[in-house]
Amino acid sequence: MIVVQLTINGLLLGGLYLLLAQGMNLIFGVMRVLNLAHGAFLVGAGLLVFRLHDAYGINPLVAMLIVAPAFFAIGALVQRLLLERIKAGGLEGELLTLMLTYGLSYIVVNISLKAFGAQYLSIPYLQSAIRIGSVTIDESLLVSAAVAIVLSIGLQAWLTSTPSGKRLRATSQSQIGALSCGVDTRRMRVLAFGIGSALAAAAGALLIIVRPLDPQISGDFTILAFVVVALGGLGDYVGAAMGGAILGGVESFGGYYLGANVQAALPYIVMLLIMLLRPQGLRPSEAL
Amino acid sequence: MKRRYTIAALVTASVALVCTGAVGATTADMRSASVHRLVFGPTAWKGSSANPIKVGLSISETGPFAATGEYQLKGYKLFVSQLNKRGGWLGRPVQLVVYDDQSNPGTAVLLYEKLISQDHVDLLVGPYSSGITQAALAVPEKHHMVMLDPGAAATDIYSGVQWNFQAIERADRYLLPIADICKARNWKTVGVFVNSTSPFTVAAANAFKRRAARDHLKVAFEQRYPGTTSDFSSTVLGAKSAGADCIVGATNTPDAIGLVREINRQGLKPKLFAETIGPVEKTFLTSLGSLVNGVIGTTQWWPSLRTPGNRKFLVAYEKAYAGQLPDYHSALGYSAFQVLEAAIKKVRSLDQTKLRDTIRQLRVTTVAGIFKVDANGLQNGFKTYLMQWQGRNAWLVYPPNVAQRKIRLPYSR
Repeated sequence: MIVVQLTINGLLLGGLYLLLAQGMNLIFGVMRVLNLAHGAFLVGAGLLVFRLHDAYGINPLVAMLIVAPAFFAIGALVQRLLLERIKAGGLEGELLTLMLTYGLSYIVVNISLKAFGAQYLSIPYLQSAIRIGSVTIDESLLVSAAVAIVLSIGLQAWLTSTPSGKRLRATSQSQIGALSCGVDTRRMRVLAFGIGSALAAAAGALLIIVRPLDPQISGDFTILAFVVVALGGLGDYVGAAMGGAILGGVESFGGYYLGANVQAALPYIVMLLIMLLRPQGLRPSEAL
Repeated sequence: MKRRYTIAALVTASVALVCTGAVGATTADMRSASVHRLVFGPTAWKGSSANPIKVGLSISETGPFAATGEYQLKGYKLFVSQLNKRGGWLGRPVQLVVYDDQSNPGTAVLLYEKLISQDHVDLLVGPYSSGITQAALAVPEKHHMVMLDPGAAATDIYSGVQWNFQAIERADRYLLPIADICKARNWKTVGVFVNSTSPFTVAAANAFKRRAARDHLKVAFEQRYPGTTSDFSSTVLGAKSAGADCIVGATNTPDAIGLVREINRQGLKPKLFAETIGPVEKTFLTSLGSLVNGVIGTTQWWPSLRTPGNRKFLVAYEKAYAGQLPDYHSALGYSAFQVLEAAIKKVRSLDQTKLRDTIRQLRVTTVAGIFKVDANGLQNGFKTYLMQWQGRNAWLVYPPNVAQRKIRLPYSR
């Protein structure tokens, strides 16, 4: 029964990790930009949801619908006003975008510190559990994971079935090709960064009902998102779903059988192993 | 493929930068810390040419300990503000020189060095947390300067020190009242969650286990986790299968919140559940709502205590900080200055050797109780009290002679 419990915990955690990584994956897929401010966006949004709940009594899931569009706008502005100005291509361009998003992460973290203080905050919402025999399913984790999976499926459906989604995929496959077919690639990049930021915000809104958040742990979530994305293969959305489930499972089982001290190191161990053994991800390399 | 490897290398380097930026003390940290210097108190005495007495400290104004550090700093500031209104020390005003250590032990070391070598402060008081004090206390030891440490409850960090004095109850006594309750109720088993990152929590848990062994209480489980843990599902699942009459958490605030949530989710039903740091904090209630009910926490001070000056301290604090209530860190910060004042009055100078020798012998009544230290500088006077959340209100419940309410057990009813 313990194995069933650990598997359920791992899969639910994986569902949440999937959403956590989707935004980073989308931005990388379209622009080859690794957004190191991803975790800062996520935590900032989570804390904003806390404030909306604490000050105005807004349900966290409703607050998510307010915060995610706000972060869409912020993300779109970052792309339009900052990243678009980097004209260098190749390695130099990649390095400059990394440095820019790294600096951005510091700015967002410090704004969060000023706005919310340096303390762990969480929302007391859905704090009970569903019990089936000796297995317990955490309500907040269940709801968060369900919403995360629905959002991820919705994203996938939009990318594959709608004209705008297809234009985005075309941009990710070949900027020049998309441009020659009349796609406004600059608009697509702004759209991608906006959606990626909104997804990070949605993940933050769901996370803060599951665990306490503090602006200074933003870097941890950037790393977690990167591990999930790297597991599945950068730019590969189906692979990221696998990555989320694997990381959730590894943490759940590892925490139980090896202890919490080892559990904390597992994402980093997984990341090192991917870097060494399969830097292209677990699935055969595929474009978006 | 080569491009992918290049990206991977860049990403790894950047992620490493993010990590080191979060935990490492660097020259950049030091520079930014310098910018945050705060001077509190007059720079010159009204109508007098007397130079102020400078008291230096670093405190966590940012970082994981910022919320608690703020309480301690407010206790320091309140005392200095009152002190200057009644004439200061030795006919001189008192000025605080404060730096933000960013909850970083390495930064705190650099800042205390700066306080002594560049700012030439006359006196020192300690930072918040055992871990940061453990790093910083070597600096006043090197410079032969007295430092009172109201933020460091761990005991082993004082081994061999001559100039530092513990101004808070010892960590190894924090959880002993819980062991006494278990023994009095004839319970058989205890379980322990330990934040393994902090010297304070480790010391508190180890002392509790020693007392449990002495009282023939079986330790059914001990679950250790790093202070950065936020997912407690596997940790609590491991404890659930072991079961225990009484569960204690040697915690800091974030993990205290996470554990309460997970224990309730997984339906653990101990007769008593207590934690060290966390339950007295304001964020405990805002983060957990009604789940706080029944949780017991340790505290070193309480508004209802009838210690000399406590009522006045409470009123002055609320007035100074727009109605905000102090917590025990504020009271201990305030108390540290009461001890310094008693020592200065006795010595009638700022001679560090005389101050050190005097503090070793002092027995001072403060708002937080009696301050006195043993030969190793460890606290021997302050006491631990227990509070409990009942109906979303916090009450002092132990020891019975000062309790506002009777302790409500079992926790899981």
